[in-house]
Amino acid sequence: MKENKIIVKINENGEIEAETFGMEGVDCVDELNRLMRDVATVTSNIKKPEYYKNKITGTNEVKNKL
Amino acid sequence: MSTKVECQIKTIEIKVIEPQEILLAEKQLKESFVERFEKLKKCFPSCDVLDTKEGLHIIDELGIATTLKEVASAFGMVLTETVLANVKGKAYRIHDNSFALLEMLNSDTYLLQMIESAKRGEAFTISETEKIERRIETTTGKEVSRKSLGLSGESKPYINAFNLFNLALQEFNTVNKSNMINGTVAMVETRAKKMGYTVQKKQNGQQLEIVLVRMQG
Repeated sequence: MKENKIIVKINENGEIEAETFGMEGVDCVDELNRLMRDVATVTSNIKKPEYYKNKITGTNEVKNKL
Repeated sequence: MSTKVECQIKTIEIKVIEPQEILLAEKQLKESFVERFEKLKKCFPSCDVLDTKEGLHIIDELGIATTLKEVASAFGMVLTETVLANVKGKAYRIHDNSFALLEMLNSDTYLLQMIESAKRGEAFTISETEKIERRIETTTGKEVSRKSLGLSGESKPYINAFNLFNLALQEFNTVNKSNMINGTVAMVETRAKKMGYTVQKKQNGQQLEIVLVRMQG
């Protein structure tokens, strides 16, 4: 059994940061897109080096527009 | 030294508000509701919206939006279940605090006059009469002292109405900010559960952390 994890952080200004753990390939990006679609406006998207090695753990940072 | 007292009447114009001030407040209220409502609709794409004479309704025809009321409440809206003719499934009437403020703008006699003037692009002004008492030295005619005996006119109810509205608007804006955050959290939680994640929430100082975990075999 493999654990897929997403941590979403929301600060007092409504800014959101979301990070995936344990996902491979483009799954992490797809998964975040499914979860955060229409929730927030993406202001930055940071991919970890593993993303380009087909062993991927990606990080997406999104900012919620209040 | 002998003095005499003279009374002077002065007419002054009181500017209650600038034209854009009240129109901006009205726009802000409408936009605040639309923004939260749009997010709610996106969280429950299977639901329809129905606008009737009684108000705005959201329809869960398939009865699958089990957390609709909860998410709406996090966004600051109250959903009351109601029966609508020819509508299948569950129907909810939507109430939002912005409605009461918009109603206040459109029913208060004083605020309405201000809005009409604002729509013409004019600042709303009211004439007031100020009574001034002047003490004058009899021999030289020199003014020794001067004091205002107060204003009389119609501006007070206008100023009061605007101040009351402004207070309610400030309160609404404060609550609205937390409604946006709470609603967003509820939206993420609902989506995550639909995607098969377990959800845990942790408060870390001023930051809320939502931990989503899904086991895959």
